[in-house]
Amino acid sequence: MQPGFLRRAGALMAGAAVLVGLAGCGGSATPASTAGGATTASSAPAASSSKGQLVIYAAEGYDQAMANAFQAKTGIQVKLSDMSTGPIVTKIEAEGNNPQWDVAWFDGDGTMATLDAQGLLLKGWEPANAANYTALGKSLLPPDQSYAVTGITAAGAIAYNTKYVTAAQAPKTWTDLLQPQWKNAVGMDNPAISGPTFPVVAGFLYGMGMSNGESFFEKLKANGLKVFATNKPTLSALSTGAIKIAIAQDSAEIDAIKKGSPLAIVYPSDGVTMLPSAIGISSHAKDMAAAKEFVNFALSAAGQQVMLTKGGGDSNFAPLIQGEQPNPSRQQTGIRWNLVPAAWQASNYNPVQAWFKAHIVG
Amino acid sequence: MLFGITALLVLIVYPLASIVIQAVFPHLFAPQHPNASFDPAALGRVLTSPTDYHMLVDSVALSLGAAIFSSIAGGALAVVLGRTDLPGRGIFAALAWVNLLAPSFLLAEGWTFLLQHGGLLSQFVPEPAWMTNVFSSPWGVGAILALKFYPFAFLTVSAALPWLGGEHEAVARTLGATPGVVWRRIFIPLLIPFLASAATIVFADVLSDFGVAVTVAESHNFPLLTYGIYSSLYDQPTDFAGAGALALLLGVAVAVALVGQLLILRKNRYATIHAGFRPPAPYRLRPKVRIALLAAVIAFFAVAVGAPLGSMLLESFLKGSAYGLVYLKPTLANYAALAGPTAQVAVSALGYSLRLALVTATAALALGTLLAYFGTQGGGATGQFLQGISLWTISVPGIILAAGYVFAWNHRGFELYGTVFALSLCYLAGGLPYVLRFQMGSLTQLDRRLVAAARVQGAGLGAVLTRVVTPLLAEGAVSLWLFVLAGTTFELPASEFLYPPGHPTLAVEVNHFFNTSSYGQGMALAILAAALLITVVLILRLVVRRRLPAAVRAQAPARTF
Repeated sequence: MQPGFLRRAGALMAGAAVLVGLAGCGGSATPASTAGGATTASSAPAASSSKGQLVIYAAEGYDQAMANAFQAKTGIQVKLSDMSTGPIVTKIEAEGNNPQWDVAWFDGDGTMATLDAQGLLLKGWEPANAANYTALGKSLLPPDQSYAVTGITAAGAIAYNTKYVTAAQAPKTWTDLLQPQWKNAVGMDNPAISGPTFPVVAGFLYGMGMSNGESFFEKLKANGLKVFATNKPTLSALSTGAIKIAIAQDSAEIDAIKKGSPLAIVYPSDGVTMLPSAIGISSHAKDMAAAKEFVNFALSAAGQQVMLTKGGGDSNFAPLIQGEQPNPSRQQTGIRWNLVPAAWQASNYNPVQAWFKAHIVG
Repeated sequence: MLFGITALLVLIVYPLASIVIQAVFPHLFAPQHPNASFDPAALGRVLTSPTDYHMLVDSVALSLGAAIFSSIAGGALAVVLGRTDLPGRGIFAALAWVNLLAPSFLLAEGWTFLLQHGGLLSQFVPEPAWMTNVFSSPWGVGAILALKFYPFAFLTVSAALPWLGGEHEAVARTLGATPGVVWRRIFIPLLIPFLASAATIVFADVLSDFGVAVTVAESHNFPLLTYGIYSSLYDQPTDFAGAGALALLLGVAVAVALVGQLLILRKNRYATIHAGFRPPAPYRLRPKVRIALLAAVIAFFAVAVGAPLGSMLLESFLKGSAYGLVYLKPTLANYAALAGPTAQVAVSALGYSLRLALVTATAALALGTLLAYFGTQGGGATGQFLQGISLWTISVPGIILAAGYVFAWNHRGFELYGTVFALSLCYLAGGLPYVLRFQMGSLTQLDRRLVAAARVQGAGLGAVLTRVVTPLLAEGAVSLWLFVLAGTTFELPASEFLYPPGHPTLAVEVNHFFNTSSYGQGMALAILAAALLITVVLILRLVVRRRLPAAVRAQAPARTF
């Protein structure tokens, strides 16, 4: 090899490395100086680092709005990674005990409990605004104070297409779904893919007992139950008439109605499974004070207002803070809430998923 | 060479190993009490479970079917567009390009919007009940994937065709061979290595396909390996060991494919780029044949490109296509929203992704070509090692590589993970295998006598690379650069995992729109990005054409791109 070539090739490679590095610099500069800023809401440039910095992994529709509001209020710079619950939890577990995140926020206290079981969450701290919880809210807090709950939705409520089903004909209890007129007309999400759906399945197995619960699903399947991946394909099938009844998360059902789907919602009289949204702080958070302030903000009146108005479908939750009202489109009374303990969900997750995959989906 | 090997180790081998090794050392990265205890339970489970066996068989069957169909379709198309005087050849070649550059999650959304129950097609035509069923069945999915990947075969064969020179044909004709015989006995055997190489890449790409696997697996009891990986990673508790074991299984499947390709190549090794070359003349088609062929090509592109992309375009101009309802009321609202304040994040994500993609494409081309050169000039072992690593990387879903990057680069005191640098390196790792494979294929085609002649004249390695090799491979190299550019701009799974908090990439934002049922806006953003890319493609093609040495341009008048 000629020495001249080596020099030139080396220069080329070094140049490429510099280019990559420059792209790196361009991308990681503070939001004020590049177009890459995703979280600056105020017109003032991002605060200096003495005000703290917060990294949030969240799977809620209002997370961006909350990040902007918090940054505007406190000057603490917020960096948000928004993706669905599955990837968030995988990322958190892959990062292990060198976490790059400070706050995690997603639907599913059972899932949050599995993170706690791996020692990844800060324990023994209660936010000041916890004093404003309703009785229900307080009852959902874990004994080791490893996370807070910011609101609840029904993991599964019945929705029907009003073009094909009248209010009188609509099912009123879960076992009504087994009736012959609903053969091949009922759909639900797949708990292996859709986060909110595992609590639905867990709700039946916990509430009815394992064997009664399993036989309920098997009878549903014999009656032609269709399983779709997530809320969206399930509700799309319902909206277009491919199915007439769906079991899906109520906030998504309300969102579909708002966007024009001819649907109506029934909360069966034997109750719906509660799905609390959980927010936790990393045990190794780099700026613990900022993280705690954010969690406290999520439970404050100002924070709850942002969540109730700026989150799209996710804004259709039922608040757990005294004095906060849910969206008018949400049914306010007559809902019977069933709770599946987070610990039960965590310890039965694998066998229940495996059983569902083998007996109901396959 | 040492630099190249180090680069490969850092970019690909070390991160992949970080996750694969957990198949036998599952506690290496445990959050509490990490230790190096040997525990092959996950690997044993994967190797003995009947479900995983089915996944392997189904994945291989689907990939093989798609690979064969792709190669035949792409090869035939290349011959028709490259060796006949069919009108509109340039346009059709450009359409094949569009197919190649469109990301598969967008194509999937286009097909879904068109064919789903109550979708776009059902607004115009009463839809039979079986259509949606077929669409999400293994057959439908295989067809859609093959239609996404045929451009690989098209690109490879098209690049090779101009060099199948007129002199072969002339000799055969003087010996009394008809064109049919010339094709059957000379040209097709010459093309077999290219078809085999393209088929192998399609095989690996279909194996690694993610989004489609999830759709098919859950509705048709046709589980695929990538679905198994998806479950391992996203179900609770996260099973990195299982994911690593499945990635190993993918490696086995790919090794078999590679062995097959190598066997074919061993028997069919021809250097076709050489001096003393005569450009082949295009065949003149008889009028009836011309019309029939034109109709066939138009029909093919109507299905491959027109259907999904037309549906995507339409979706961006419709409001209210959430939850499957289609309101045929055209509106510019989705595009207008992109100019507003709420879309600031989305538009800056577009710029961010383009910048990253430009750097990645350039670095991948430079590094990949250099490595490919050493791979072909050295002994067979280096070349085969590079081929093997490339193919395995292509077959492994992006999410595994990204998860590997987390484990590999998240060490206290040296935290590359979480920065844009890690994302860039992961992009580079994703694009490098394609560059490596394609350039190694092109360089093998290069007659060694060309290089030898240059050396005899006193050219050093640098001069050989810049004055002999590069102009001959220039057009192919530009195509490669554009391919990596588009692929990186729209890359989703790894980006979602690795993007620095607060700086989402384009695909993350589009996916965000889809997840909040704002399909129209998501499509508008994607189309905007695509329009920008197409502009880049067109400008670049013009520039390269102008600047190619006249002698090289004159050699191949029938080239279509």
